[in-house]
Amino acid sequence: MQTRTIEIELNGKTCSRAVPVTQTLASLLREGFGLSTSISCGEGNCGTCSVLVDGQPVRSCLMLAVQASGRTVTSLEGLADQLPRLQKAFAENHAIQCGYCAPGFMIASAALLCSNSTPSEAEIREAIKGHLCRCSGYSGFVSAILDAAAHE
Amino acid sequence: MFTYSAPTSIEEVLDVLSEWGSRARILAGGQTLLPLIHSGRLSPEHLVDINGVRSLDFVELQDDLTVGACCRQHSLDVFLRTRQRHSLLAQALPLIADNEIRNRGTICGSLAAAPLGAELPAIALTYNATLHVQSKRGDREIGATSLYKEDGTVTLEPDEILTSVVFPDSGESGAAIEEIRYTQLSFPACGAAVLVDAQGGVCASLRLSVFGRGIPAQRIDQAESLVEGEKLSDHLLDELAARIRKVVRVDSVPGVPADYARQVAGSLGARAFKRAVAQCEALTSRVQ
Repeated sequence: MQTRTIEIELNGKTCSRAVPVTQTLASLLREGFGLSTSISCGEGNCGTCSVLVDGQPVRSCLMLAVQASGRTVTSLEGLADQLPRLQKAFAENHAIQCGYCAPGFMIASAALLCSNSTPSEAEIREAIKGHLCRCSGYSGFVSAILDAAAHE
Repeated sequence: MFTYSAPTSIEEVLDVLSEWGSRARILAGGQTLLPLIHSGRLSPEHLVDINGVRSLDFVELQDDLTVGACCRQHSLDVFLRTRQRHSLLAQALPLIADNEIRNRGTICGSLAAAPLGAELPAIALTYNATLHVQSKRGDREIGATSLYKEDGTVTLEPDEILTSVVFPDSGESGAAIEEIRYTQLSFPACGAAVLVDAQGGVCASLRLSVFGRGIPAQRIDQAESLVEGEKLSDHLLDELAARIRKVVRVDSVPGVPADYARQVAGSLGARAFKRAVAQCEALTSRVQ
């Protein structure tokens, strides 16, 4: 199997690793680095595997690990000071039920709040529309993000 | 299982495509390609990643808008937002999937892969955009109306790459896109895109395309000739919808029965036309 050595800045640390060229970034993060990035559909339909690449949210299942070479990758663990505020807002607004989709939702929320610190409900719904929650707790996410924005 | 290469020049890309032919696929944004591979619907033997070819990542706006093969949908969306130009394209971009897909997905990738229901092929048809195509055998230019076959697939050869697309300055003053989708992220079941030039409610010219999961992207020439020189009225809208329903080519796909696609294509075409004419009026009254 063809491999390539990539160097990425993952959650603030420079990492170098040989990866199979067929491996997705999602698989590298979860299986290679043991991070919280959830993998579900593998086809870009559910949003559980979203991470930030160079600060922009993307589906990590729709990006090969080799394509992340030379880039900055941020998973939930790398959200640093944003994370506690999001976790508190998600918990208080009952936005997490089984929790499987939470990493993707939190990445989408963090990306939204970075570009727009006072989003409207419509803007929030637009930002999370690519994320599926099988427990169907969508209004919980919306109020959690509004709450997180208010406590910025 | 595929092998992978990441050339840094267009010449090297053409070499790889010439060597691998139909066994290779081009990886730009990957938002159409990787789902096909991961779901087992496509098994290329080689992926040639063009993201290292710097000369393909550009947007250029003179009168016409030229977009390179690596330009992301999100970048073009941001670019057009601040310039008030190419209004139909600007309206269509935010409708594509969601921002995470648009951050990676490219304009040219969507045009070349042309998944059923994608907005951009229909937008390119409406503008009759020009596509620049290269291969080791030579370069060629092709109009969007010649690129797409009746079934919505493209006439590109396996050794060819779409390097850029030119959206001409349409000159039309009204533009609108309408679509119906069943879930937030799914491809629209049906849609219609129009460019209109109208004054005092009289339509001077119309370009209209329809698309959807059950509708291969296509221009509806016979609808265009129907309304030209006519004044907007409820009767004209009914006639326009009826004409679209009569001539549109539809495929029956799961969840989008052919009769439904035909019916809705007519309604959306008329709705988009009405909205675009209203836009022309608003523009005229602002100028006066």
